[in-house]
Amino acid sequence: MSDRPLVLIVDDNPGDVDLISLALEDTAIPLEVVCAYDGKEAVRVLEAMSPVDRRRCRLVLLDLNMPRMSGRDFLAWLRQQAAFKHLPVIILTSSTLPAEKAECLALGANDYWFKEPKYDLLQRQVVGVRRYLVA
Amino acid sequence: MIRLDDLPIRRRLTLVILATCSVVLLVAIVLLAIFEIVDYRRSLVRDAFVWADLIGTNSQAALAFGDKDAVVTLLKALRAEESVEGARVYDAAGEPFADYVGAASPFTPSPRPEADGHRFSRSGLEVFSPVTLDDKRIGTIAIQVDLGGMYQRVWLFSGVSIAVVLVSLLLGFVLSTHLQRPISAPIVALADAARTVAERRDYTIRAPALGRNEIGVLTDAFNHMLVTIEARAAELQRSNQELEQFAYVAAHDLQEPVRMISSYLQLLERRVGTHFDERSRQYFAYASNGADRMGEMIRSLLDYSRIGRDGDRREPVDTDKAVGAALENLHLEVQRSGATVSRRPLPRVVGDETQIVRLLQNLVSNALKFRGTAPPHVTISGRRVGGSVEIAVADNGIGINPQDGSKLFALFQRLHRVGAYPGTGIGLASCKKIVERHGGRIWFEPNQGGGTVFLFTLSEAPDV
Repeated sequence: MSDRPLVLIVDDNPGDVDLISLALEDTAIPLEVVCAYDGKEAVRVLEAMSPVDRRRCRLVLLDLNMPRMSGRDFLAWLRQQAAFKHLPVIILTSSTLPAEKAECLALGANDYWFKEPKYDLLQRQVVGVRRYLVA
Repeated sequence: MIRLDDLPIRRRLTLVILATCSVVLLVAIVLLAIFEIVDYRRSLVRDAFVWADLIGTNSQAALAFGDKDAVVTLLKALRAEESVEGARVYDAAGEPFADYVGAASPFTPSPRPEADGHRFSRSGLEVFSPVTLDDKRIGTIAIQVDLGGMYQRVWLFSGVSIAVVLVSLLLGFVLSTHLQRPISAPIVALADAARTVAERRDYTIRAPALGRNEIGVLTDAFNHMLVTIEARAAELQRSNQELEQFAYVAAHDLQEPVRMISSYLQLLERRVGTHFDERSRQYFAYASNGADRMGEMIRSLLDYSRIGRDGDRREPVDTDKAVGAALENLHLEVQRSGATVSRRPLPRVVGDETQIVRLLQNLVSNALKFRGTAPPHVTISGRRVGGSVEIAVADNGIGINPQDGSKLFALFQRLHRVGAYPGTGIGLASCKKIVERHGGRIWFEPNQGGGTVFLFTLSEAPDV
């Protein structure tokens, strides 16, 4: 198939998943998007990945407040997996609590982004994924 | 001059007791003195008549025979009485017959006998008494008595009275100081409790209940009132906290759907905007402006309800540094508006530095925003007032109608139509919230020469 980097978007709001995918698409950065709609599904997606895909997988854009398995729990799980210990994770959330940010960074998140309120701003924001995609 | 109404109740009680004592004592002394004087005069008159009778009776024969020497000898018996100034015996024709002059005072006998009886003059008592023989009047005896004794007695009495009054007052003072305590102590305790409550606004304080009398009832009522106020204050605080929590959660969670609307409206405009006719474009603009404004309002409401959410710090703040930080945050706006900012050195205050920076920033930002035609000029100054610092942010802008004063600090209150000036109408509400959380006050005044001055007070930081 392709050797484009994989970006896993984990968000329970389909509207957000679409929006983030579209924004990434609009940046014209060569990448492929995989979606999961909560932490449990993200675990399943990662576990089901072929070794090739696991190598391609470069970044997780992770929402925090999700049913079944929250972003926090998923992050904690991820950091315990030998295969994904170093997989970069950017928290992309609408929560602005400073305590939450500190907690996530302590859990091993690489960055903490507050979801921008408009599309053009979001588009500018997601350009920031570029530095995580270079091999 | 100390007014009686301002005296502490202890002193007033003592004063009332002492005043009562003094009046009673004085009345008693005056009555006693009058009685004493009347009694003394009466006995003086009686004595004088006794002497006159005695001499008169013994001098009957001598007077009848014109033996002047015998009468003089008889009169000399009066020597024993020191108060007698003198005595004179008149013959039947009323001519002076024999005199006796006492040692003490000048004797001024009248040349003719006056009517029988006694009369008081300022200098003394004069007694005229008939000398009779076989029911026939053969002469008159006059005795003049000095009142020095009486005056001496009055002086002595006055002296003793003053001593008695002084000793009584001293005793009264000591006694009343101790005895008024059961009355004044509960009142003083009640007043202390009331003052503490007023000063600290601590409604958990209770006045000690002492006794079951009227003051006890008053204390109970006061304590009961405090219980009610404490409960109300707790309820109010709880409901305020709930309300704040509600505003915070509502604002926080509303961000999400508004973000969806704004973002997808924008996306839609990009995808299909080119197919819109003029009218649809207009409708679309209304919708997206509305969504954007709603987003802004929700964000500023969130900012507003976040003030003090992570606890309010109370530490000395370098106010000049805070102004510096606020201006630094606003440097783009300052540059863009061509504003000049004058700063005077400000006293240090006590508070939460982040909040104070935000307060100053909001006020300066308003000063830049609501500008007139001239380039904005902002002056930040401060002065000490009592234990507080009053900081003023003055501008030369469009000014504020004093009638709008009451609504100016309300949430989402805008004085201008949407679009005339940017903003959501939450800046001054935030300022008010910050200042009031610091126990201060914020208000505005017209600036002399146009524009507005916003003033607020904060506690002054103690010197290090």
